Amino acid sequence: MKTPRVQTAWLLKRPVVAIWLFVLAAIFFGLTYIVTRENRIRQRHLSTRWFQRGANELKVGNAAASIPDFRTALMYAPENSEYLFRLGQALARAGHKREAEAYFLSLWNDQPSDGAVNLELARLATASGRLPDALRYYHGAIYGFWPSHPDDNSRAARLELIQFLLERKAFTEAQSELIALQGQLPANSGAQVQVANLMMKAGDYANAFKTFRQALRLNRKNLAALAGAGEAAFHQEQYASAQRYLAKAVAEHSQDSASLQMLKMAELIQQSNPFEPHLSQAVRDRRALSAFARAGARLQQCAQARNELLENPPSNSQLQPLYARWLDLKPSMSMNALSKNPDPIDAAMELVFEIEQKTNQLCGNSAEADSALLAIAKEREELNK
Amino acid sequence: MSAPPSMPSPPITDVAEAVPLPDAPEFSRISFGEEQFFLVLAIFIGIFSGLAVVCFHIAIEWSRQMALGSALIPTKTRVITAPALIGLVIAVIVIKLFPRVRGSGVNQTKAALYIYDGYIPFRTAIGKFITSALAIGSGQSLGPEDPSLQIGAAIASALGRRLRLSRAKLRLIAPVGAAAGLAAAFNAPISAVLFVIEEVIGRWSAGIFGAVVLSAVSSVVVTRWFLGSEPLFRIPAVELVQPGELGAYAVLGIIGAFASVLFAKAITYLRARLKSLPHWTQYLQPAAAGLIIGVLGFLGAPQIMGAGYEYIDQAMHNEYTWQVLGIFAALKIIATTLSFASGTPGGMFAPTLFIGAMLGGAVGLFEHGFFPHLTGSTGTYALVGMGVLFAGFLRAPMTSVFMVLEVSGNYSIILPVIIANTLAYLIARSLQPVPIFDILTRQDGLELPSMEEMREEAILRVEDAMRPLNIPVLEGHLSARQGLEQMRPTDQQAIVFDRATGWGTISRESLQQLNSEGKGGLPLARVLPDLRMPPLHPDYTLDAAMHYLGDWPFLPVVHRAEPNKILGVLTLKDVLKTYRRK
Repeated sequence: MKTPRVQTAWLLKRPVVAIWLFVLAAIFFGLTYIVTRENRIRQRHLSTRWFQRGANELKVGNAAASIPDFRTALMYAPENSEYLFRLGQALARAGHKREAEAYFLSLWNDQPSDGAVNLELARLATASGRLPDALRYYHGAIYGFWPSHPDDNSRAARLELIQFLLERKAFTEAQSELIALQGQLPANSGAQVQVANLMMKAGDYANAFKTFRQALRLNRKNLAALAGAGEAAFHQEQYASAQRYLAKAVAEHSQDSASLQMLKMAELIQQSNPFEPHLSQAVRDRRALSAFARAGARLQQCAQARNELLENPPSNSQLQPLYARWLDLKPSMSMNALSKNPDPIDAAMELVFEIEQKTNQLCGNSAEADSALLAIAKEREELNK
Repeated sequence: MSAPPSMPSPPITDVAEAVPLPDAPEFSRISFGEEQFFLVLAIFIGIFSGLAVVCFHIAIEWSRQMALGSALIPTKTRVITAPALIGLVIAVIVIKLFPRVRGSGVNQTKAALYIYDGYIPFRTAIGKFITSALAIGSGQSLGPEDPSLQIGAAIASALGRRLRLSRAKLRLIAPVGAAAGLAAAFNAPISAVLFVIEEVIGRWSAGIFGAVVLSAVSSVVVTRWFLGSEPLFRIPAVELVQPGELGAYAVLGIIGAFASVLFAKAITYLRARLKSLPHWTQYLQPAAAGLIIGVLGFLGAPQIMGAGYEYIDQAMHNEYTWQVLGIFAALKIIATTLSFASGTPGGMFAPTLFIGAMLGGAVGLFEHGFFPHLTGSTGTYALVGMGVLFAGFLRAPMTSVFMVLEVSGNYSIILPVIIANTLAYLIARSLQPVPIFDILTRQDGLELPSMEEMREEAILRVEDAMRPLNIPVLEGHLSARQGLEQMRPTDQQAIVFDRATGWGTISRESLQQLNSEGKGGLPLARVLPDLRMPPLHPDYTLDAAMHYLGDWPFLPVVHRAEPNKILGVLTLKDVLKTYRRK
């Protein structure tokens, strides 16, 4: 018969012990699982509660009050990226920009293509005037991932970027972005007009004009598009086109004083320009004579304003040489003379333009007729280029 | 500490007599060597320690919510009252039920290894669990890592005793559990292994290393399964952009060294003073510490309460100015000194990291103010600062480097960490030669080996002790007569070397006898005894040489590349003389 000592000894045999340990570990594992599950439920409840509190505070504008709530929520859900994001937003809105940036950078390191994170970082970069970083993050937002409404969000990010560039007078970059934005625009007249207005601010009148016309194709009665197209055409010295659109705009909304004024100017330019195509000789002569007379009067007016006597000018007078040339040309500038010999018109108009430019430079505040002549001068310069 | 009970006696027969047991099943006869079993046991120790630490972590959270509420920043009332009231409760529990749970747990584990043959009562694990969870949760400025270390060690010790391991293995099993507990608490297996080997065991050996690694890894696997693999705090992007910035981190290392020494001196001074007070004051000391900490929290610094990991996270994300960070570092030193010195159970790791992070952030921001071109972020400086305090205060230089790397997951930070940590360690060591753990041990009346001294100990080698060759060396092919002729009149012994048979020794007397017997023509190699002298090499440790010296009056020391080239001889007397000289 085996002794009890031998009988119990096998329980301490190592393979048996290993089995016992395994069983014990399984029991302990199960108990721990129950405990951690309860804890997890509790933590989820607490984190949600505190997050909601913070979100409510942020919603009503109490960014500073929401910060500790979001931090508490994060204490119970440390890796919740949404909580981190909202904390960053709250910090940014409460003026703690450095801290906000640190949190957003943490998120960006985990998800560099997250559109919303890039957008927030871009905003922080613009607030501190860091153009290269702002560009980088805005592009990250534009081309990044958006879980919902990706096109709208991307477009909105690009619009923000454009506005930032315009404020910084980075017109070249703004124009590039505007061209890219055109491709993203919805079939919506309002959106087109918004973009076209930005193009105007960026000085890209050609594309602005196209975009306004695109808006008008979608809605012919869009007042802003009509006025905008007219203005864009005006800036491109396409006065006939400008007159057409502005006239429609004024017809739709007679209180639009800016469009009205521009329309008047466009009409005046067209009526004053002797180089308009398809003019009869008589009309051309008449316009040239009128411009010539106007230039002479402008000279007198400017000299008077400068207390100069054109007949007895000071030695350094900038007006007198022009006046002398005007006098030289005057005999050949009559209806009768021009009907016999229209050649002096070009020289006369060159002189007119010089006079208008010089007097504008020296005396400024020109009348509408002079402004019209200046516009015609500019148009001629562009044509000659 | 009271003496442990005596080692377990042979199996009890009473139960077997009352209830006859079945015969042993077939599988129980499978052979399982002790080494292999120890490694398997290490895995289970890791699993159990990991599970215990998970429950400990949850217990701290529940304790905090109960004491301080669920908000990150507690209400003023709770801040003032909770640490003090719960401090009273803790004091009663510790004194009446679990007197061994005072302190961090690191020295207690070392004591188990070096004094008590690996014995740590399981009751200690339970007591440490309860009291530390209450203490940390209520806002005492202590951390969970050291208690986790001790809980793991106690679990391992209990298992080892139940399984009747050999005495040698029982002694080693506590550090195995310690590594598991610490790895689970830190979620950093490499740092835990290094710390236990650096600070608890003090030496590297293949057998213990394997078990320590297995237990640490298995505990971390368990912890991550339940709690996730998120780090203790979010580390923002860290990188070293300009090598010139290393100077800035060196400054941090220097400042951190002074802070470490200040912290250590404060703890050791106050602890000694509080221990010398009448015994009845021990009921009130944790409460008093809690009250002071509560007042500091009430006055505007609740961040110094508890372990403080949430606030390390905020510091890394530029939440505070450098002045505020500096104040937090100073207040945390005060708070932790109070908590620890009062005997409240809990650890110093987390407060060390907190102080380091705040100090690092403060130094970084301050330097940025004067040198705006510095590119290191606050988070980078805070991270390096944590390593600096770890190296300077806890005096675990290797662990401090790996801990920073493991926590940040970023290798580019290694240069600043190494430079700053090394400076902090060296300066702190020169200002305070005795490390904090050793001072605390002596305050407890124990004499434990100093791990730092063990590391610094020069290893004595054969080359340190050997004497020049003053004995003739004879070739084995020479005859006995020739050999005798080559010996000087004063030589009584000769060394014989034969390429085929190795080293031997022969006396003048033996040679003379051979000659007189007419065997003078025999080659020396043939007349030597069969047993050959084991040659030594200069780089052998004296410890290794001692294994052989007992059998021989001296041993030859030969060149490793030229085995027939003898460099000197070594005797037992030479060895003893060298040890005494050291």
